[in-house]
Amino acid sequence: MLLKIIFKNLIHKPLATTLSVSLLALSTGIISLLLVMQHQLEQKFERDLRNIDLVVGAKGSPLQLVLSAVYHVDAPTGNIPLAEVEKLKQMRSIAQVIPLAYGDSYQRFRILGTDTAYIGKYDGRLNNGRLFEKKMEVVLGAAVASNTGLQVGQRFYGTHGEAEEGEQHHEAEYVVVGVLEPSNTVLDNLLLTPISSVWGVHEHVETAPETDHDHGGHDHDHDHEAVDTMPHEVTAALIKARSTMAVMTLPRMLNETTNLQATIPALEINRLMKLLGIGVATLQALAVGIMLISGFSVFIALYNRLRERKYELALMRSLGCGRFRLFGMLLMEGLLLALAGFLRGLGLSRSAIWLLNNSAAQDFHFILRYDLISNEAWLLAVTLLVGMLAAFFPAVKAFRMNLSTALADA
Amino acid sequence: MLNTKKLQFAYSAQRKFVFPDLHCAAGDALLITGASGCGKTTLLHLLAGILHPQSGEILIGTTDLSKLTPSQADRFRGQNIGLVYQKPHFLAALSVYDNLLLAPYFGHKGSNSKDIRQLAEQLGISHTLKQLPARLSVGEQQRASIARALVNNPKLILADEPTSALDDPNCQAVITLLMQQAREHQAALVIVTHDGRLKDVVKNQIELVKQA
Repeated sequence: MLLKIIFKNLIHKPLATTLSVSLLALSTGIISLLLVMQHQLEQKFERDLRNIDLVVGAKGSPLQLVLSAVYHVDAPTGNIPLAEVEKLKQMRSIAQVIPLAYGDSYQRFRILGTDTAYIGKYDGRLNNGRLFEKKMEVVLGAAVASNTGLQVGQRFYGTHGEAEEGEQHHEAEYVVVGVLEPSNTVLDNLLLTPISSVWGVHEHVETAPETDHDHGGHDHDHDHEAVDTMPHEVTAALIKARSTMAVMTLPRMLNETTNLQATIPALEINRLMKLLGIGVATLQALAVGIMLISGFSVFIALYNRLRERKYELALMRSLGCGRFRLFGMLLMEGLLLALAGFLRGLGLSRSAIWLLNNSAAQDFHFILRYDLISNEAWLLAVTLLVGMLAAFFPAVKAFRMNLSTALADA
Repeated sequence: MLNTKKLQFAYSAQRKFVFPDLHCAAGDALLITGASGCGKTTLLHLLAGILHPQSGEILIGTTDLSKLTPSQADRFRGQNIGLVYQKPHFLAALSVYDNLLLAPYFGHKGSNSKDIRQLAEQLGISHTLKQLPARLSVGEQQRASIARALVNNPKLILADEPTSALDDPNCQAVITLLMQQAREHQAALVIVTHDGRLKDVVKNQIELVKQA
């Protein structure tokens, strides 16, 4: 009955209630969206970082190197000679070197030349087929397979660069030999192939001018000869060091003595997160501001209603409703408003995620999940607190109401 | 059913009221009249346990209202006293039926209360139960508030200017209804009013005089 009274009271003034709930929903929605995005981005960055101690690549921006070589979201800094990378393998302080060579793309998914250790690093498991063994054989990430519809045994041509509409290398035909299970890592969005495939395709382009597309089959023999004579290059290498000490000393050593750039991805990502953090903090401050305003609007709405309802409250008292019950009832009203606002806010943030997933996800190869995160429990607590505070003063006023004068004034 | 002795109340040293002793048996009606400012509403609030007397006794049945704490008084009022006001007031958001239900709900009466539909039938407002109170005519509203005062089987019905806002036919109907219901439910009925039309209807009368 009490809940019914509260509920009926709230919907009796739909405009005031809707305003309060909408403001609350807007603020909780924004905060929830920020929390979810931050949480999932951090998780993803951490998951993809794995045990990559160092990234080695061409000189340039260290952040760009990390973003391109570890997360595959930026253009590479350039190429480095394979010979230099081979030298790293000889060093005693280095446990593992995985070379990466960027090739073409297929329907916006990157074709990455590497060795099978790369798949092992992310615990990639085959869903069907086998790992690549020879040149031009390709293993698909799970998301690539589901988005492109490619299957084991199918053949396809790569596209130069990352653009969907880029020119196709019609001479270089890849064949799918395996498909990986979803791993929630970068593997999902990559087409993996031996490094030699990438060399084959790209050195061909260098020897044959880009305008010359209609050459016949006889050119191919010529190209393959060229492969073996060119100095081989890779884009970057992922390095696992033998000790923490080595992680700290290697970058400096490599940066000073070689033509390579070595960087610690964990540090770069921390730096990036800090930069992002400023933006997130600004938005959060904005959302907190909206939250305060919505709390204030709930307060005003309840306070105004109190003046209108003074006689109703007196009536309830005269029917035998105690002060504490009345007090609790008004508090509950604030809580219920806050709860409704919070639930709508959650709906809002999940709709926003859905929209993001449907528009931007294709460009970033990053699907946001919809599950609740623990920080949202805090958000709920804070929202309820705001609702309760807003209802507190009207409730106190009702509690201290003089029943006799209230009845006499009516 | 209702007996008061040497009832006194003071808002301040200057505004002090000494009330005559009242007696009203179960099923009887008592009319309290007087010019405004003579303490009619104050007396009614004392009888309802809304105000606490400075001294004196208010016996309703065997309970002395002046000995109860404010929250005990709230509870006693909810269970034993039915109030009817000059302007019928309701919770605007609730239907008439739910408004009638409020009395046993807040009065902790539970199943001891009357059947609301039957009561509404007696008072001729059964067709309004599902409507919001604001949709009712003034006469219907007043009858609904009388129904609310009766739901809990009260020992005492207190009516504050119940007819002042009504035209002659409605006034007649409401006072008849109040007296008839009080008799039927064996409740003491106390009416506070300056409405001269009631003086011919209610035999027991007390006139309050303005105190200096």
